[in-house]
Amino acid sequence: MARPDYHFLYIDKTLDAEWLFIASRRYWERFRPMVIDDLDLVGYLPPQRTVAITTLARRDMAKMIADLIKKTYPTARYDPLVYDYVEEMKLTLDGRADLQQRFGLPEDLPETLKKKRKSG
Amino acid sequence: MRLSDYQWSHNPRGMHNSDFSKGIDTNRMIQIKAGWVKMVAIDREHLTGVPVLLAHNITPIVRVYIPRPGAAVPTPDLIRAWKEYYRVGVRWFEFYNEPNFEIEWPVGSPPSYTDTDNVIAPLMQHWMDWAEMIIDMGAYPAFPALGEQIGSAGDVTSWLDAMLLYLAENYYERFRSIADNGMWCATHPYYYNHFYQEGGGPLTPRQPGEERADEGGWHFEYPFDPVNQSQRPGITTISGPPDYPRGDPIGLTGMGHAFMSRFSDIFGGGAVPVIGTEGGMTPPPEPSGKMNQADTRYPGFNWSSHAEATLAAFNWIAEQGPPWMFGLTLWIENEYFDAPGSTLPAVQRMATSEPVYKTVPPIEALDGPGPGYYKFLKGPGPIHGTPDYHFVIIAPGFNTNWFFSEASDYWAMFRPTLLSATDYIAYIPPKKSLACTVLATPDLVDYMTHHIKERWPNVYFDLITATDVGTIVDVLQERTSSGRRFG
Repeated sequence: MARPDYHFLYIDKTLDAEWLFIASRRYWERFRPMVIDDLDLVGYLPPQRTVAITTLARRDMAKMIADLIKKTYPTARYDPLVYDYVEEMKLTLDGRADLQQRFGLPEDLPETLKKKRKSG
Repeated sequence: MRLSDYQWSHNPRGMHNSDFSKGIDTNRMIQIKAGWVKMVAIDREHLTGVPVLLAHNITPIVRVYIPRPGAAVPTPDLIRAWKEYYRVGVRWFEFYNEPNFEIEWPVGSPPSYTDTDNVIAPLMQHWMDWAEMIIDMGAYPAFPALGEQIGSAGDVTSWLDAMLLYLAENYYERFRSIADNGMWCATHPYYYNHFYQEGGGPLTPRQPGEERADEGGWHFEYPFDPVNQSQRPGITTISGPPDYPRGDPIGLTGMGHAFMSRFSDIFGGGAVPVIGTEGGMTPPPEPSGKMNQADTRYPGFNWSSHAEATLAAFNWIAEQGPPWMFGLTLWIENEYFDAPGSTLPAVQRMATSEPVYKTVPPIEALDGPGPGYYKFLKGPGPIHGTPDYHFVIIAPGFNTNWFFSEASDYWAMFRPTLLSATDYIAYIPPKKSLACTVLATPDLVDYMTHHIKERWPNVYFDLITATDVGTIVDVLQERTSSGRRFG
């Protein structure tokens, strides 16, 4: 699957800074997603832009976030990660960084980089 | 394609050849420890010199000369010549040269930027065909260098606008594709005495005899330097106060900045390399010690200070210049090596000084989202009270360890959105407002200012510059302890 034009990393307001600064540090440094806690920001993009949303959540909030994203942004690629502890989340995200897999799978080039030339 | 993907010496120091009838004098280029050499070729005379240059980490740029080409299409032999130069290792090519000068057009047909049908349109159409051919070879085509004349039918910024607007209106996607596949921008920065080295402060230049290339405080960023801004506040390379409504690009990086501004505004750049393929201080110094001071607001330069300032300019490009400024090939070899009575002192100064190599950040050629969006999107609206959104933007090349080791408390208190690119800002609707805290090293201040403050004037621009982690600690701790998001 091709890389999206925009990749958001949603960290809910109820999660503290460790979820970014410990769990997500290497992942962010590798993939540079846009870290948000307000999903309205996704909605400002025009429909022709492809979007992926990776969410970090504990089990107690995961379903609510999943429902919200699927309802509000049904065309976005949704990439939920659910762990109750920062250390567990870090293991998964570090693994993705090590393997250079933004979504835990081998990824393709974005469509915009595949284009070679197009006449005007 | 990213700025860091281009293959070159990373040494901004360069020179333009002079004797077009024979092959390049590689020894002279090696002597001055050049990183670039611009070679105008009559034919294939430089083929044997190219491997020698490359073996000494000198990147060649080739323009095969044809007299008064106007907007002519390349001949079959010209195409063969480019391919032969490519095969021996040349990757950087120019074709049209200073098309805003009458001398580059057939006799009796002076060009004007207002003549779209006979000048701009054929020039750009044939240039795109050529650029795509060079890209298909695996090389880098130059957007044509414009001669830096102001006013008249050859006005340099009017020509730049006419060329880019024609491309935008007729070949928007095609030009973006060329830009994203190896294009670079050639400029001809003859910058007179538009530079200085600080003496007693940013507004107090040293006198020429006191200038030292190895010491700091140099300003080559004209028209953005403190002296000029104090006298003509707000002037840029493309806009300015009533006296200078079209700005002033006559500086070392001026036309590069002008190009990048328009490229960004119209096409959603990004950055592509800029190389001055002619230029330098002008006129050349004389052994008599005569002071060249075309602009009396700045110190002049003379026979000896010219050498210090020449070396300083290259070091400045490497260490402080915009990330897209890759270098300058000084005009011209014989004026430096065969000057009346002597070689210019600059030759010996360069010969005895190791080059400073430039680190290039991985900036995409196109950081915009796609066709035409920058034409329509206005971005965030004005701030009334508190901004609706607060972004922390980590500029290219900024040490992310500093952020992740020191910004945890700040982020926990204010919960800004974190990102590393600026293109998303375009999508914030005008009914919402935005503040951006930008973490940048000093060399990227101009670049980030241009990409945020100039492009989105409603955005509150909160710049934090740092060359060490201690600065980050101090600033963010102060903000956290005082509860002030922007200090």
